[in-house]
Amino acid sequence: MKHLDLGERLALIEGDGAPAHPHLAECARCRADVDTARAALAEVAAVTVPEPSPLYWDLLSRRVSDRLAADTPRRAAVGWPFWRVLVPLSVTVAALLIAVGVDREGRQPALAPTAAVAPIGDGDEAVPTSVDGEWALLGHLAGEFDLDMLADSLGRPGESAAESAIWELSEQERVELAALLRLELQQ
Amino acid sequence: MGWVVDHDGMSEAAREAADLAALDDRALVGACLAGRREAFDELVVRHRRAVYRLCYRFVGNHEDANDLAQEVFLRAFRALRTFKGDSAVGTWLHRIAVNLSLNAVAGRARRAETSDDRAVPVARDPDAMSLVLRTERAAQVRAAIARLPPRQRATLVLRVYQEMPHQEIAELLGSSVGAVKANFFHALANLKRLLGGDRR
Repeated sequence: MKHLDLGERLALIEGDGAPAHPHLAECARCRADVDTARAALAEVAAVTVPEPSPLYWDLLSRRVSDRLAADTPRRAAVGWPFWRVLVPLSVTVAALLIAVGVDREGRQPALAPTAAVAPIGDGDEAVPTSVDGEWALLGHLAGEFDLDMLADSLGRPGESAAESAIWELSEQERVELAALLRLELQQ
Repeated sequence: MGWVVDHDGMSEAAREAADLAALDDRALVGACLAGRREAFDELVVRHRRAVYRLCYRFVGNHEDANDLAQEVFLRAFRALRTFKGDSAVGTWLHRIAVNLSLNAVAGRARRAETSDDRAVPVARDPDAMSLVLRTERAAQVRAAIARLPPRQRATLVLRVYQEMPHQEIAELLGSSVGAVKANFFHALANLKRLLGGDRR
């Protein structure tokens, strides 16, 4: 005897008022399977979801809204570390460019004196008093440039590895960066 | 914070809410993508009940259903740009809810039915006794559903409570229609076994 296949059984189980399959009349096994599954389905269908408090729905909305509000600035900040890195990096590069420029200037033979240095006190210290003097001052400042101090003053960027890698340049890497910039300027 | 009230006596916020309420779901998604986050609040209002109920069907208790429902909307918000509009927003949310619920039931120890399921009234009269029995039986059926393998549970929930066609369930679960039918049939057979002959 060929029993009902899965599709036929499901059609009988789910079909409300579906005409009884002729096979069921003669096959006790299929009839029992279908009846059992129908009974289980009826029980499952009768189970309702307990209704939460009417106030719950607005609470759910509020919680979602609050979490979105808390989430949005963090997500909006996805592009932000780029700027937080880019701006200090630009400042750093600018300072290095100035330093390199001053250094190059210092190495060129002076064709004519353009700076006058006024002696102060006993003449051990000199204060720049001209344009070149200002460049020298900038160069001095650039030489004293402290990346960590800059980071602290502008705020540390996020904690991603990429950002850390940019910020945490070793002394040697900084020297190499300056050398690269110097080479670029000479070309 | 004072809202601007125009000559119609309607605040700007109320007018905006009314404007959003007039939009269909897809338009709300568009408004949300255009930067109006309130549009998403309106979507939450429209679908929160269905999402919560679907989650509850999977996890069988309020606490987890509440957590899951929130998570569904957060995920949806984050993935809003990926919503192509091929299906209705409700269907899309259901898909997210089902996936999250499946992950939740697969990865978490089954939690016992919570107090709201067990809080049966003390029977003092025949009606109350009947209510007690029905409540207990419902709790037993929910517990039995919770013990089904995840795929069978998902199929059963989507078929019985969401009234999804087998084909749609197959697409949602990434399986064949034949597998869905088999899972459904086995789910019913397993339920009968789990519930035993304890019918009242």
